Amino acid sequence: MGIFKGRDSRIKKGHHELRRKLVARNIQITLLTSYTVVSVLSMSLLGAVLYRSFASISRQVATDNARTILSQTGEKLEDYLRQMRQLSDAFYYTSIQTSDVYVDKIGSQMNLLYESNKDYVVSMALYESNGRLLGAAPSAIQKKNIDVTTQEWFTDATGEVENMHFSTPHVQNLFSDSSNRYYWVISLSRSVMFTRGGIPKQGVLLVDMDYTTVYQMFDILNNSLSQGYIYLCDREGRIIYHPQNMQIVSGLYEENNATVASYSDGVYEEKFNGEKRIEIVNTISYTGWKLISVIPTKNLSVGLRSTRSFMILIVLLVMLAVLLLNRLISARISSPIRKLTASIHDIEVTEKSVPIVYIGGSNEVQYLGTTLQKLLNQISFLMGDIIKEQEEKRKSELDALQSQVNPHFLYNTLDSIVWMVEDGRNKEAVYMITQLSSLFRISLSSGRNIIRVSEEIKHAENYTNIQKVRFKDSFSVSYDIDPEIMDCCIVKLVVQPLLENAIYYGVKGMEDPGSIKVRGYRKGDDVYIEVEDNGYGMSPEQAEGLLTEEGRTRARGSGVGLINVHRRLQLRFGKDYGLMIDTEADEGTKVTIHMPYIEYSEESARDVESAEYI
Amino acid sequence: MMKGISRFFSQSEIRKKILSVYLMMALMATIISGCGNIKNKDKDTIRIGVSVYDIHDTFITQLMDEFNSYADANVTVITYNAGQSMKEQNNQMQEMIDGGCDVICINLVDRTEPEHIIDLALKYDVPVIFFNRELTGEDLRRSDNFYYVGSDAMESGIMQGELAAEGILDENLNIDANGDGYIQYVMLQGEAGHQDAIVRSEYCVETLIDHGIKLDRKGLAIANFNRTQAQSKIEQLINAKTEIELIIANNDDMALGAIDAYINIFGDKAKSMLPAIYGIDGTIGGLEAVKTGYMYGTVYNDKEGQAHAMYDLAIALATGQPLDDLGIEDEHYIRLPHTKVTLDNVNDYLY
Amino acid sequence: MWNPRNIFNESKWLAAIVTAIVIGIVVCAIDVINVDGTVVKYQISVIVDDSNSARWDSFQTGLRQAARENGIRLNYVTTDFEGSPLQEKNLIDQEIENGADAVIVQLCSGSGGIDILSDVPANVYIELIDNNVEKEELDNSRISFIGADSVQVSSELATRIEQDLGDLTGVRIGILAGNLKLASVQERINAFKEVSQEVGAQIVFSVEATELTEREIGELVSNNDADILVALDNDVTETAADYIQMVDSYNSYPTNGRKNVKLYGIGCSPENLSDLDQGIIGGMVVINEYEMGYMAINSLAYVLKDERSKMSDYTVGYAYVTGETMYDEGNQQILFPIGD
Repeated sequence: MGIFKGRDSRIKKGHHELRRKLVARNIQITLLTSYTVVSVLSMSLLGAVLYRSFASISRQVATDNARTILSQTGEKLEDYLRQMRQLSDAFYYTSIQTSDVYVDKIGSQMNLLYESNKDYVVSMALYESNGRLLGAAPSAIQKKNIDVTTQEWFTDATGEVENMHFSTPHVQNLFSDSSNRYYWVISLSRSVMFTRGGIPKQGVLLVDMDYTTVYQMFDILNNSLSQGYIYLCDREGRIIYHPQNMQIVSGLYEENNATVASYSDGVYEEKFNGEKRIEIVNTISYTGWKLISVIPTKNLSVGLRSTRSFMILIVLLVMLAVLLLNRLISARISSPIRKLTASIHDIEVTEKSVPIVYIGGSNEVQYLGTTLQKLLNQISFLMGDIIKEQEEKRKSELDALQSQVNPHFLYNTLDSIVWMVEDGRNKEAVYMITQLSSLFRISLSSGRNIIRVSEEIKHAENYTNIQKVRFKDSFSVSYDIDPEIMDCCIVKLVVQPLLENAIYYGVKGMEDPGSIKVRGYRKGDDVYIEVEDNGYGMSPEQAEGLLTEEGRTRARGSGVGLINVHRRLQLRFGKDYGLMIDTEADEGTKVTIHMPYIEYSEESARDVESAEYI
Repeated sequence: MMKGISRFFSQSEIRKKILSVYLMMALMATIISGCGNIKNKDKDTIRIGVSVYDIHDTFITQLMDEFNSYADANVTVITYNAGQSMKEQNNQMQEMIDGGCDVICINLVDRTEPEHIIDLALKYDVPVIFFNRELTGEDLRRSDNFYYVGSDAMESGIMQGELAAEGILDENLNIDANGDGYIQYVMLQGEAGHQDAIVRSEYCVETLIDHGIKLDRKGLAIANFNRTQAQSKIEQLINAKTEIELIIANNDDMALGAIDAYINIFGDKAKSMLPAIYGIDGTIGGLEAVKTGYMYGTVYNDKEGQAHAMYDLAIALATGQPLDDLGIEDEHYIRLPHTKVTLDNVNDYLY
Repeated sequence: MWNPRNIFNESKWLAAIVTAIVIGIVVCAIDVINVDGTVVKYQISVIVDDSNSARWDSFQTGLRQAARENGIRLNYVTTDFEGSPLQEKNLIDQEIENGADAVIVQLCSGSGGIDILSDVPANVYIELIDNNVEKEELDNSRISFIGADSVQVSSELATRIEQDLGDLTGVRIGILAGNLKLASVQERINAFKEVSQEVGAQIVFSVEATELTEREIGELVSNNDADILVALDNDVTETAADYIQMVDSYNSYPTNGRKNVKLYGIGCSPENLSDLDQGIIGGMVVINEYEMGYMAINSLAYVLKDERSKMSDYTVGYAYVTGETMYDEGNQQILFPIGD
């Protein structure tokens, strides 16, 4: 369990690390990422949508083009077939019907027609119903052992006498040719009535059209098509022309002519041999032949390939530009922030020096910077304040410390003692020394700052006793302390300075004996110790001055000003407490120490001692 | 790798770098594709392109056989069959030029439409030798590098007439079988509207008349220079019991067709039934017919001479040699003379 | 201020995207330019013996059709080797020098063929037609063969002759063959002999007939008292047919009567077809030469355009036809290919 724990914590740590990294903490990267993602996605989407619509439009255009070409081709083919039918008609109505085969040379009449049409016609021939050749152009030399009655064009014609019949392309098998040439023809045959020796007879008129005319027409057409091809088949699907005919025969190519031949005119989307293609059907009139245009749909996309590449190129270029622009913008936005961050990176504020904060960039960032600067300045200032306060406190402590051992008072008292000893007033000297030692002992109080009221009063008594001797009882002091407060906490050396003031500023130099009354009592949770004298008193301004800085420096005697006492009281007990001065000129002064009632114990003394009410 | 790319990109302004790479690749692509077609040609070999109007024409075939036989080891001949399609011949012209032919020989399908061929020849500055089927003088003169090799149809017609006249006037031959002072004759003509056919026919007849022969025309058949068609036409005439003493054919193939007709109808007795038959061309079949007596005479169209002249001219043009000794008349024409062929001299021509 | 260095130091994946885009741009740029630029046109030369003979009509039709469909420049070289391998080699070299990317060759000699082919530069494709060689010796993956399966063709002929006559036992057969130096010719002879002898026929002579005249053939027939002539090659079949008609090759006058010998052959030329039609030839195996020409160009075009694909041999179809069946729908397409 211990081992696993270790691993777990490592993993957890790893997760934390990862999560930290993933969460974009850097403004620039955040901006850049979001811009990049948005622009890449939107450009790609735009490109794809445009391309698709372009592809579908061009496909439609290609289909429309193919239809147009197909119908034009259909018309051309129909014209050609009509021309041939007219030829057959021409011969039939002008020659056959008006001639007598027995008498007239049907062959030479045929020659004329042949000569004028020989670009399209391979031969013309007239046969009797039993297959005997009556006349032909240009050559009437038949192959040996030929029986035309079995040939398809013949049977078609005799099978349906009212129509003309177009055959599928085949090699002519009628006449002998010394040059061993063979001719591919489309046979146009019809049943005719002719006259021989005045007797009407049945026969077949054959016009063999040169297939290569049709072939070349389609060949040129197919070569001019940029995509797909056109082929021709008859009603049953037998191929009349196909650009890949030889391949179909050799089994190298497949075509679905069998199925498509049964379709009526229109555009069809077919799938053949796994290839998607568009097939357009156009029916040729009279013959029922089908003209079929085939466009494999992948041809359309091949043609589009360069366009697609071009579009992708444009999209990519724009993407790149946008990316770089994003970079620029995000940098401009975030760089002031980064500079701001950098300038306060290792911030060190002292009361003397403040780091210079970067102020720049957009308004918000400038405002941030300015505010930050102000804050830092303020901190620095406050730091100075705190230091000053600290100094003050130290000074006060120092003062207090100083007051514990007051040299002046000591010299004077010791002087007095010396006089007494020299005078032989040993008892008085002993008395003075005892008072002094007690005073100093309490003054020091083993370094404590909080003592019992009893001790403080003792200290005050020591002081006043000594002063009384020194001042030859020129004044009187009375102590009236409520025993209840004797065991309260009090800051040491607060009564004595009051007494000192009372002596030096109150009763000293009075004609009448001055009197100082010290009273201490409890009132609820408060403790009051009054030091009242009936001396000169002070003017209100002077009273004010006592609790000020001047009061401090003016202190003589013990050297501790009232302000010091006041401060020390407040420091320990809080602002609600301290000194209260009540004075009237020529009447007297009463200074009251106001404290909370706190029973003295080691704990409470420690508490008060460590209190710092500023 | 990423660091490497970072370093790469950080070395200079990205934009400029991309642009220069793009341009470089574009430049390379163009050069490569443009260069694709240029292949190094070794100038030691000579390439001659030939387009014949129809490979089924006997005379032309035999002419080309002669021509090909002259080709040396360093000469390549590429032959195309235009199959009577002028459009196809135009395509072939382009192909021959693309194929790097030094000289091109054209046997025009349609003499009246040589524009495309001429334009291409002028554009690529290729010398062209037209042969056997003649174009107009204006067209031929459009370039100093155009030539015509052939024979004079008029001459052949006249010669045929002379041969026939000699034969008729020769009592031994007894061509005027019925002795009425008139020669009953049949003219077997080539294609309708064909220049050579017309010229040959006219001049032959004129020559006969000039020699004082009285003619009675029994038939004029257009057999398109085709043996079988001629046979058919003559058979029709025979079957119609036409009296024929003389058959004049514009070419030997048709003359042979006429003979075929008699053989077909009369079988073994054919030879005795034959009229006097004269042809033009001097194809091997025709010469054999003269040799075996089936034909009285033919006019030899010097295919060997024409082939040789064509070949020499082609080589001279390809190698830039002077054309002085080649017998060029009028700066563009090489015409080989015909010769009369009868039983007497047929052996000279047959082998 | 705008220092590219910063991005890439800060973000590696951004560097990756930008690189990918730049590559994409370059690729597309090349693609777009290429389509507008000129497409490379390959050149294929065709060298066959006696090139202008009508025997090659179907073959040429197939060649030209495929050349047109694939955008190939076709050089059909006029030739008349008269059996000289040196001349053939010369022509092949010339065509290659002139920039042929591939050459279609009918080898006119067996052993010499290997020499010719071994000199061919490595980047030129060779398509052998009609006559094959032992390609393994050459260790060249750019040579392949298109033609009929000689064994099958001969066997078919033999079988059909048997069907035609009903029973071949004791029938005396004279074989007229092509250039004996060629392996395919030997194969034809052997296959025919095997099949016919199996059903009891007697081979009374078997000769190379390429140089024989009609008269000489006649002598062979009478000397050996042959009942049937079998010609295993197109030109030989023509000569044999001429002999049967007792005419010479230019089809001029009949000079003698006929001899009652039955002729069967292998061929495809218009003359042979015409003779077949007239019954002079009793039956003929016609090899689909159109397919041969078409597939020769087609498969070469395929490997030229796609360097990675390999050439492989191809066997073309054939059909046995007689005067009666030659105009049947399936047959007439093969016998009389269209396509000018």
